[in-house]
Parts: sequence; C-alpha cells; structure tokens
Amino acid sequence: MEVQALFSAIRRRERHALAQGITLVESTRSEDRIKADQLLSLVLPYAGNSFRLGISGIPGVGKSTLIEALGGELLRSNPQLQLACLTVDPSSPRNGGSILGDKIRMEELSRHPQAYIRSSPSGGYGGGTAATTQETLLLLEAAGFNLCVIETVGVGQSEIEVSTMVDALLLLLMPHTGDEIQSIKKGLQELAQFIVINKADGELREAAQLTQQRMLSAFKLLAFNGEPLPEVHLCSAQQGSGIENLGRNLIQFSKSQRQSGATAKLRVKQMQQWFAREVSNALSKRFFGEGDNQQRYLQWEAELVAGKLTAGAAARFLFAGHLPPA
Amino acid sequence: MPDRREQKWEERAKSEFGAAELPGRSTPEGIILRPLYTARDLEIRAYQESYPGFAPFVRGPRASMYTKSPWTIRQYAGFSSAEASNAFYHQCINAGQKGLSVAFDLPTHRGYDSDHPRAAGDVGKAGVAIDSVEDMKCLFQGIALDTMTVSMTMNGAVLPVLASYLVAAEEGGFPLASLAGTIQNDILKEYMVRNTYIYPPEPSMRIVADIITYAARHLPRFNSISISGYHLQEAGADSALELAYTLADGLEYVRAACLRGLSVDEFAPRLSFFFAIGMNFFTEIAKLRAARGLWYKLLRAEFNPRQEKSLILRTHCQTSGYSLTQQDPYNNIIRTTIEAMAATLGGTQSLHTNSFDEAIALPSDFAARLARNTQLILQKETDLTYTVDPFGGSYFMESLTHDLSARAEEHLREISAYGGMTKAILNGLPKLRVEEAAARRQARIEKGEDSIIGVNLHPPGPGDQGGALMVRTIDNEEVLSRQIAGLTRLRAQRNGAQVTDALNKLRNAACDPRANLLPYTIEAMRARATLGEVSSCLESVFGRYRAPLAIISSVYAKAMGNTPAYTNICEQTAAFNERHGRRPRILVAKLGQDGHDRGAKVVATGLADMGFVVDLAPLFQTPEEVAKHAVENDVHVLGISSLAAGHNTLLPQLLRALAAEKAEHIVVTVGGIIPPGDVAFLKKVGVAAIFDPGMSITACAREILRLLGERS
Repeated sequence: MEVQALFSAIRRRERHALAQGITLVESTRSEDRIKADQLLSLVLPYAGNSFRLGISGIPGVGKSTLIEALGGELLRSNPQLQLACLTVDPSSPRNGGSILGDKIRMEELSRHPQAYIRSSPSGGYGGGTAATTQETLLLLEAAGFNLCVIETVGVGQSEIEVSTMVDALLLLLMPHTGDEIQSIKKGLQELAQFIVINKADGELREAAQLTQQRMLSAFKLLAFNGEPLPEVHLCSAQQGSGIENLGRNLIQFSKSQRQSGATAKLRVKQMQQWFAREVSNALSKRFFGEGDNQQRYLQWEAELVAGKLTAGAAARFLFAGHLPPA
Repeated sequence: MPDRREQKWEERAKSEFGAAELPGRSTPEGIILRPLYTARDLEIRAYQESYPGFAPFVRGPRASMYTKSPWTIRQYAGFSSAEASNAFYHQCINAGQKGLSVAFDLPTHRGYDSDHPRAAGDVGKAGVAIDSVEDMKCLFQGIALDTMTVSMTMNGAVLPVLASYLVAAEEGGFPLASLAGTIQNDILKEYMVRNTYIYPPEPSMRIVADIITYAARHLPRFNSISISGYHLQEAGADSALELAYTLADGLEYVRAACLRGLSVDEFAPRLSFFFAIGMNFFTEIAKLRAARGLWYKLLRAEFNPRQEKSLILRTHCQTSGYSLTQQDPYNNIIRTTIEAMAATLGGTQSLHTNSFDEAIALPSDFAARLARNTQLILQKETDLTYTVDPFGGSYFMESLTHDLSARAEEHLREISAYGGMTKAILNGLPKLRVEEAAARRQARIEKGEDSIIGVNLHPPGPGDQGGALMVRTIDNEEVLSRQIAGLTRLRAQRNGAQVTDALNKLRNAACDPRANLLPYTIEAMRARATLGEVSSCLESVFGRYRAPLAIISSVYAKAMGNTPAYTNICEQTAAFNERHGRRPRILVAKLGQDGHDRGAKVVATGLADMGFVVDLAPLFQTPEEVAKHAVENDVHVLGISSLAAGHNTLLPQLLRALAAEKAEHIVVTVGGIIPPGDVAFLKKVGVAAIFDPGMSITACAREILRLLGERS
C-alpha cells in the first residue's frame, strides 16, 4: 500500500493498515525505513492524544493478566476509551524464532472491539530499537487510541527505557517478605508513579499487605525533596480485586497531569532525550563505519585491558586518530 | 554374573553382528530393549511369581479371565443427531456388539446448547448433539438399558449429561439400580491434554467426587469414573508417562472421594481405567500388567482398603488413533489388529478398535464393521482366549513390566513432590511434560528413528492406492436446525417456573460445598432444563477455566540436531528476514470447540525452533476472533489446526472475516483431519494449502515459505 493510502486508512482506524504501519516501522530494511519516516511525518500532527502507560515487572508476576483485568475494567467504565497495547514476548528459542502467546493471557481484551493488541518478538524494543516502540505509539495515537499500554519485561534497564516514553509507569511486584523490599524500593519512587503488588489473594494476601505497608513507610522517609510519591496498590489480577480502584486512580492521574501541564512538560523532556539518543546512536554508527575506527577501537580496548592506560585516555587517543604504540 | 551359556551366546551373537557391542533399542520411555533376556534378568529384578486373580494382580484382575468370557467389544460411536446415532447403535448391537460407548459432540462437552453462538460449527460433528433429556431418550430408544452396558465419554458437562441419562432411563422404566456402564468423569486429564473442561480444577474435582458419592449409593452397577490415560498417549505421552499420570489422577480422585466422607471400600471397586494401545506391542502389554501391579501397591500404601477388590485395576482399552495414517490408509487395519492383540494379551476388560479411516474422516459404516470384526475374529477364530496371561513368566515380559513400572514411579514421585495432580496441573507441569514428549516423538519420526510404513518408509506409488474411501459426512446445517427446533419445542412446552426454581436450587447448592450437585441437576433436567442452562448456572458460581500458558521450546530443535531438512529451513527463514525486514510470522490457531491442541503446539514449537515468529491463539475462538488476532499482529500466514470435523463451516467463516478486515493477503493453511473430498471445497473458498497429519514439520515449513515466496 502507498504511504498516503496507508496513512488515510490508519486515520480511519482500519486494523490492517495500522498493523502494516507498525510492521513498516519495525522493519529492518532500509527501503522500509524511508517509507516509515514518510508515514511518521504524516501522522505526527495527529499524535500525542493518549495516556501512555508503561507496565513493567519480572516474568511471571502477572503483567498480561493485569492488563487483561485492568483493560476490561477501563473499557467497561469508560465507554469512549480506545485501548491499544504493545507487548513483547521474551521467549526466544533459537535461530531467531520465537513463540508469542500473550494474547492467550489476554483473551477477553483481545476480542474487545475497542482494543488493539500487538505483540512483538523479543528485541522489539530492547537496546537500540526502543525508537520503534516510540514510533509505534505515534501510529496508535494517530489511529485514535487514547490509552496506549506498553508492556515490558522488567530486568533493570528496560524499566528505565520505558519510563522515557510513557506518561506513567506502573511497576508490578510480587508480594515479598523481609529485606527484599529494601533493595527493590531504591530508585523506584523516581521511576514509577504506580506500584502495584499483585497476587494479593489466598495464601499470599498477608504477605502482600505487609509489603504494601513497608513500602509506604519506606517512601515516607524518602519524601524530603517534595517530589510526588508513587501510589502503592494491592490487587489480584487473577481474581479481579483492587482493579476497579486502580483503574479509577490511573484515569484520575492522567487527567490531572494533563490539566496541570505536567504531561506536556514531561513529553518535551522525553522528546529531547529521544533526540539525544538518536544523535548518539547515529554518531557511534557513523564513527564505527568510517576508516579503520572499528579496528582501532579494539586495539585501544586491548591496551586498556592490559592496564596500560585509563579508559578516558584511551577514548581521547582513539578520537584523536592515534594508533596504539606497536 | 552371566553363566557360561549366556557368555557363549553373547560371543556368538556378537560375531553374527560383526560388532564389539550388541545393539539395544532405546524406547521413548528411556528403556533399553536388549536382544536377549534370560533367567538372570528376573533374578536381578527380584521377580516374584504371582497368579491371575491374586495380588498384586499383574497377571490379571480375575482368575479365569477370557477363558470364562472374553473381553467386551465396546465401540465408541456417536455422530449427528440422536436419531441417527440410535439407528447406528441398533445396527451395531445386531452385528454382535456387547456394549455401547457414546461420543458426544464438542458443544455438549463444553456445556453449550446447540443454539449457542460459539457452538455452530461443531454441532453433531465429532459426536452426537445432546441438549436435554428429550435428546437422551431418543438416543436410547428401543435399547434395554438394564442389560446393555453404556459408557459415556463425558467430563466437562458431566452433571447434566449423566443426569439426563438417569432421568431418561427412569422415564423409560429402568430403575437406577439396574443401570450398568461407565461415565468417564475424568476431568484432570482434560486440563493436561484434551481441554474439554468448563470450570476450574477445584470445583471440577468436587463434581467428580459428587458423582462418585452418588454412584456409590444409588448406582451399584455403574463405574463412576474412567480414569483415562488414552488421551495422554494420543497427545504425545510415552507409555511410562501415560501410566504414571493416569495412576496419579486416580489417586487424586480417591483422595477427593475420601474427603467427601466415603470410605475407600465404598467406591474403589467401581473405579475403572482407560488406556491407549499403540504400536509398541510388548511395551503396551507390559503397561497393562504394570498398571495393575502399581495401582495395587499405591492404593494399599495410601488407603489400605479392607476389601481386596478395592485394589484391583480394571480397564478399558482403545487402539491408538495417533498411530493411524492418512497415507496408505488400509495399513491402519493391520495396525489396529496388532494393537488389539496387545490389549488382549495385556488383559483388558473391554476394547474399542479404531476404524481404519479415522485419520481421514468420521468412521464410515464399512470401516466401523471391519473394526468390530477385528475383535470378533480375535475372539472367535484364534486361540487367544483359551489361556490366561500367556506372557506370564516370560523373561522379557516380566523384565519389561518391571522396568516400565520403575520409570512410571519416577514420574509419580515428581507429581507427588508437587502435592498431587491437582496442584501439579495448576502449576502447568504435566502439560509441559506431555508436550515435550510429543515434540520428541515428532522428531523421532521426522528423523526416521521411528518408521511408519507409507509415510516415512515405502510411501505408496501412484498406482498403489486402493479404491477410493467412502467417508461419512455430516450435514451440520441439518443437525443444527433439528437441534434448534428441538430446543424451541422444549422451551415452549416445559413449565418455566419449575425450571427456574430447579436452577435456583442448583445454584444455591453450588455455593454450599457440602451439597451434592447431582441430585439437584437431576431435578433440573427432569424439569426439562437444558444442558446449557445447567452449565451456565454452575458457571455463574464456579467461573469458566482458562488454561495457564506454558510453552515449550527447543525440544524439537534439540531432537532434530542438524539434519539437512531442518538446517535448510533455518537458512530460508534467515534469508526471508534479510529480504523482508522481519521473520516469517504465523498465527497457529484452533477454531470452535475442538480442544485437541497437541498438533498445534508441536507445529508451533517446531516452526519457532526453525526461525519463524509464531503467534499462538487462545483455544475455543470464533473465526472472527482469530481473524482480528491475525490482522493485528500482521502475520503472513494463518495455520489452522482442525481435528474435529468443523472445518467446512468454520474455514469459510474465517476467510469471510479476513476479507471483512481487508486482510485477504494473509495466507490461510489448514492441517489435521481433512477428508480428501473436502479439499476441493476448501481450496475454492480460499485455503492456500492443506497439510495432512503425517506431514513433517519441515515439509510444512517448506511449503509455507514457498507460498510466501509466490505471494510476494
């Protein structure tokens, strides 16, 4: 399909067009990149009108189950909602293939006419391809989706990355006991606006409540710099408890942030970060593509590893065009 | 120490082989079959002689076995409407069949009335459609239920089905105490393989226990459960895994019934088992012998019943549907005969022999007759029935029985480490183990380690095919309109207030864990509530179960190693990635109420291992839902697996749904049991390729990539 036609169909929220647009943005072919850029420039004026929500947590914590429950609840209580969800599946057997099964955990939401769920194989937005996810968000928004959920597997780096592209980050945690909380809470209050302790049902209910209390008291101690503290929720995505309240607070948060101008400010900052990241990616790509830079890099690295100079000095010599002494 | 004679034998055998070591065949269970067994093997295994009819019953549950009366020929059948199935049953009884075994259609299994929107494509297809007592009465019209034993394969909707059978029998003048037969009522294996469950495991276990309890009090001649390994083997489990998981399920049911306040002796004699008999002839004989020995041992250790008959495992067997091939289908007659022999040499109490055309379609009358005759010939023309446990004392058979028991006990230990089968299932482990075994089995076939004549060895040439098969076709539309008319009539004629009242009482009973649900269901069915009404009433309390997702990976890759066919596909998917900027992407899905997902899972894991991006769809989807999924993820290919005859209704709907989404570019393929007569129709509506069940995954992958190459 031609880019212009694709754009018009996306604006009409035709699923096949949106799907092909996302494929275009995700493609690794350089011809596709040109078309993707054309498409993005067309959609840009229509993008930006959604609440962008990141959901992160370790494998097995119940992210998909939460999205299934939360998405269903939000669609019930907000009839105007158009919900899109991007998920990444970490399974990657070998030979580059993978099995994506997250729609199995989001069965009800998947079939909802106002929901669009797109799963990507791993690597979808790990490392260098985070840009793909950000671009996909723009397409979804241009298609009229006003709640965009990005699910990501939390293993440290990816929470930070996803937090630079969303309006709010929801961290999903397991009920913990004892000292584990101490290590978890560090840095969380800066990153996440919502901390949700899942599986607060059955045998784990008490552990979950305890986790919530400890987390809240730990945050109070940290509340000296005036930054807003994350909300801490309990829920059972499996049984549906705590979901209604969480949904209400999320919508509330989205409205108040937008009205106060906080969202706009945050997005300006994110755009700058995105630009800086693109530039530094491009710079390094260009540098390594030129002359014998790749080879000299490895040579200086060897010098560094051999303990002959510091990393800073090695970098300066590398950029000055020197070769290591033979 | 081997004695002199054995050493001499070994030297001579080695010289005949011209090798330093004698070969040993490694079975899928991980047992090495050696070329010779001697008295020493029995010694090593501390073999103890025993007698049929005596503990531990390895040699048979009864002393006289077939010398008094042969096993019961019990053919599983049912299709279309209750009238059509009833006519077929009469025909079977006249031809010498001694017991009936009812196959229900998938909507009935899943608790949907025939007029439910999710039921449409499956009504009357893989079994008979039953919506109410009226259908049940029609199904058994003219059959003496006090003399004919009736087995019913029903698990999910077991309450309304059993209740309507009991009401139909009573209204036909047969008192409950006179009814003899079996209800499958084995829900645990549904969560592992067959997927025709409705509610979550815990309330389902309560239903099982309610039925066992009721039967213990009111149905003295009725087997209240048939603990089934059959479907495990069909889904890919090896014989040790099948054996272990079946017995572990059995233990769990005994525990559940004891928790309901029954003593083990009140119901254990009415427990029955059901095993598959595949092509590993000796292993399958050993499996039945091992099953009896292990059950005796396990039950005695945990429950210590007072009566000896509580410790005896009685079983039904069915020849393996998995072993049947679509290619060269007449070979299936031979396979079934061999399997039937293994079942009887292992001492089964009743047997179903498959029709040779089952890998292609629903059994035709002709094929069903041959299947029944297979057993009649074994009983009447051979000397199989004159001696009890002919393999007893065989060095080889006794050793194999011992080794298989030992393997099964390892699996049993793993399950008890999880705290029993219900907990293990909630954890997803058993399903995973079965799927791993299935992927390994597929790889053994594709590498030629397991030979299948007509498939991976000596495929038939163009002139080698026998005459065209006469397959049975079901006019789904006709059955559907008959059922809908029946439901309309029923709803018009019944006393609505009485139905509502009975359903309210049932709902209250469901909320009270001490209540037994069967009597309440009987009252509801007697008032002419429908199967769907009862099921949804219970669902409102228990919820509908969704299986946790467990995906195996790399099992196929590991087993395939670096065979050329496999490496070639990996290279092709990598090249595709270069050319198209992404990997070939396929959505593997099932449509309708067909829950047999072993094939779909094996294909999914195989393709992923070869570099495809594979999306898996939830089970029990409508064509529209699958189309939405495929479109949103922008897949290149939709691979539909169809094993329950719904394809002619569901695939045209799927293609229409894709067109409505403007996604005609998605290549639609279908695999599974597709009668040759349907191929032209499916191609006409737009299916690009049809894969038969014997096709290797590498061959499917190659064809998919070729189709994609054509399109781009």
